[in-house]
Amino acid sequence: MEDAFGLSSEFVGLRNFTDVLEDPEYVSTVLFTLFFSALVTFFSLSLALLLAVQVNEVLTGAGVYKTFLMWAYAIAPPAAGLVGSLLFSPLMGDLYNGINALGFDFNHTRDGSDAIFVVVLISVWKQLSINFIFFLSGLQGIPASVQEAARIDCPGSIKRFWTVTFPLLAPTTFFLLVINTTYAFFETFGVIDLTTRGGPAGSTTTLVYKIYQDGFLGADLGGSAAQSVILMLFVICLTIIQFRYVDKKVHY
Amino acid sequence: MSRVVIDGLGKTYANGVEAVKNISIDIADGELVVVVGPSGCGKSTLLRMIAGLESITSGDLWIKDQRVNDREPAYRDIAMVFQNYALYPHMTVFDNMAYGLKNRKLAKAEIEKRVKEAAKTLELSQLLDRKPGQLSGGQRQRVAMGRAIVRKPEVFLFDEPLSNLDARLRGQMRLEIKKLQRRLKTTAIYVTHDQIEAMTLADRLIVMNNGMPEQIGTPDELYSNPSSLFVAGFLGSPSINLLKATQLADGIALGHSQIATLSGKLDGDSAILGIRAEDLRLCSKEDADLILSVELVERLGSELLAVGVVKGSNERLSVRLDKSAQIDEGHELPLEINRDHWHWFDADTGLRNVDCYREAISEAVI
Repeated sequence: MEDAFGLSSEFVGLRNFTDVLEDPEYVSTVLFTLFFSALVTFFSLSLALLLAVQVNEVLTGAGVYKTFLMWAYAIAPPAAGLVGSLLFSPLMGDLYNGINALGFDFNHTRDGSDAIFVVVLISVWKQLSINFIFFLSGLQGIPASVQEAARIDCPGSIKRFWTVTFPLLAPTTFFLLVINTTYAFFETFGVIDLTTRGGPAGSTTTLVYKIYQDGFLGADLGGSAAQSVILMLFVICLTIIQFRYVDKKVHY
Repeated sequence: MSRVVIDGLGKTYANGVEAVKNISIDIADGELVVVVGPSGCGKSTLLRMIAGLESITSGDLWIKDQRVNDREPAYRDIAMVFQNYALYPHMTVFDNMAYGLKNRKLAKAEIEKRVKEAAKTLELSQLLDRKPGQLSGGQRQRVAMGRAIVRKPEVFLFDEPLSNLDARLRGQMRLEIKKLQRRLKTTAIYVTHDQIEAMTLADRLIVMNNGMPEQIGTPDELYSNPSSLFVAGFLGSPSINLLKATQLADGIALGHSQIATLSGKLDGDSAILGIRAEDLRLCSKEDADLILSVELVERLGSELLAVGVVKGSNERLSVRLDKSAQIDEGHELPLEINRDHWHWFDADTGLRNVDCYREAISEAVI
C-alpha cells in the first residue's frame, strides 16, 4: 500500500487499513451508512408497495397514475439532489419554509437529524418509482383467480394481503431489497453531495461520500483506497447474507 | 335449507355491455344445477355474481333465505372451484385446504380432522406436504376440490373445473364430482361449455345464450323438448339435423333443394324441422323419406355414426345406427324420419312450435 503525500509515496503495509478502522469518525460513518441504507430501503420499498397495491386496484385512470409515478425514475440522482436542495434551501425552499411554518424548528444545515431526514426523503423519492414499477408488475403477475380464491377463503383484506399477495411478491421484494441496498450505499452520492455535502459535522456522510471526501478533497489517496476495499468487502458480505437467509424463504 | 334463489339477476358493465340479462331460478337444497352455453354467453359471469366476485347490477340473490347481494364473497358461505384451480403456490396442499378454515378461526384439531378426511376421500393423503408446483393437473384439480369441501359450505360453485384435464381424467372426475355432491348433499352450481358434462351431471340445466336463459329444465326435458333451435342445436352429439321446410302446393319440401317431400301442411310458408341422428331409421326403399349417400362412417363400438349427403343435394345429415349395421362409405341408405320425435321450429323466431305442422290425414278427416 502506498501512502500518498505530495508527490512522494512510501510503502506502509496494512497501516492504511488499521488507520481507517481505528478512526472513530470512520466507525460513525459505517453506522450512519447502515442506518441510512436501512431507512432508505425500508421506506422506498414499503411506500412503493403501498402505491403499487393501490394503483393495482384502481380501474379507471390507472395509466395516468402509473405515468406520474414512473416519472421520477427518469431523474438522475444529482438532478434529484439539486431539486431537493432547492426545495430545502433556507433562503427560498418551499419545503423548508413549509416545515418551519408548521412549527418545527427545522434546519438541515445545522441539525444532523434534520439533514438525515432530508437526504432520506430525497433518496426514497428518487428510488420509489423503480420499486413501484417492479411491484406493480409483480402484482399483475399474480393470477387473478388466486386473488379471487383468497377473497372467498379470507374475509379480511389486510390478512389476505399478508398471507397471499405478499408471499407471492416475495421474489420481487427480494430482488428489490438487494437493488435498493446497493442503491442506498452507492447511488445516493449525488443526492448527498448536492444537499448536505455530508454535513453538518459529518452527520450525513456515507461510506462512499467519505471515500470521495478523503480521497479527492482531503488528498488522502491511500486511506481512501483502503476505504474503498473495505466498502467492497462490506457490500459483498451484505449481499451474500441476503442471498443466504432471505432467498431461502422466497422460493416456492 | 341451503336453497338458492336467483331472482331476475342481471349484470351490465360500465361500458353498457349486458353480460347477463334477467335470470331467475329457484334451486332446491342439494340440487346440482348446470349452466351451459357457448363461450361469451354470460355463464361464468353469472357464477361469479353468485360468488360475489362480480357485482350484481339488478335483481336479487338469496342463499339460505338471506339476501346476499352486497355481501363479500367470504361471507356468502360458498366455495368455488376455479378452472385453473387457483391454488396458492406458496402453500403446501395441507395449507391450501386449511387456509379458508384458519381464517374462519376453527380449532386446530378440527381443521386437521377435516383436511385429513377430505384428503382421504380425494386420495391426497400422501401429498399433503407437497406444493402445488409438484403436482400433476389431476392432483391439483383434486386439491381445488378438497379446498372446497373442507369448508362445508352451503353452496358449491364450479367454474369449468374439468376443462384443463385430458379426456379420460375428465370422464373420471365428472363421475367423482357427481358422487361427492350426492354424498354431501350440498347445493351446487356448475358452469361448463361441454354439453356431455352438462347432460350427465345436471339435475337441472340452464342453457344460456347471449346472457339470456334459453331454457331451464332437466336434461331429458331439454333433449326431448328443446324450446328453441339454439337449445336443440347445442345439446346432443352429433348435433341435431336441421332442415328447412317449405310449403308447396302438394305437400312440404324439405331442404333447400327439396331432398324429400312430406305430405301435410305447414302453418305459414316455411318452418324448420329438427331430427336427431337417432330419429332417422333404416327402412325399405319404398318407405324411405330420403336416400343418404354415406361419406363417412364412425364406429364408436356400441353404435355407429354415419355422415353423408342426401342424394342429389348438398344437405348433410348424420345418422345414428346400430353397431351391427353393415354399411360403408359410398353406400346409399334409405332412411325414414321418426315422426314421433321430430321437432318443429318457427322459421322466423327459431322457437319451438308444434303447431307448425299438420298432418294431411287429419285435415282430410275434418
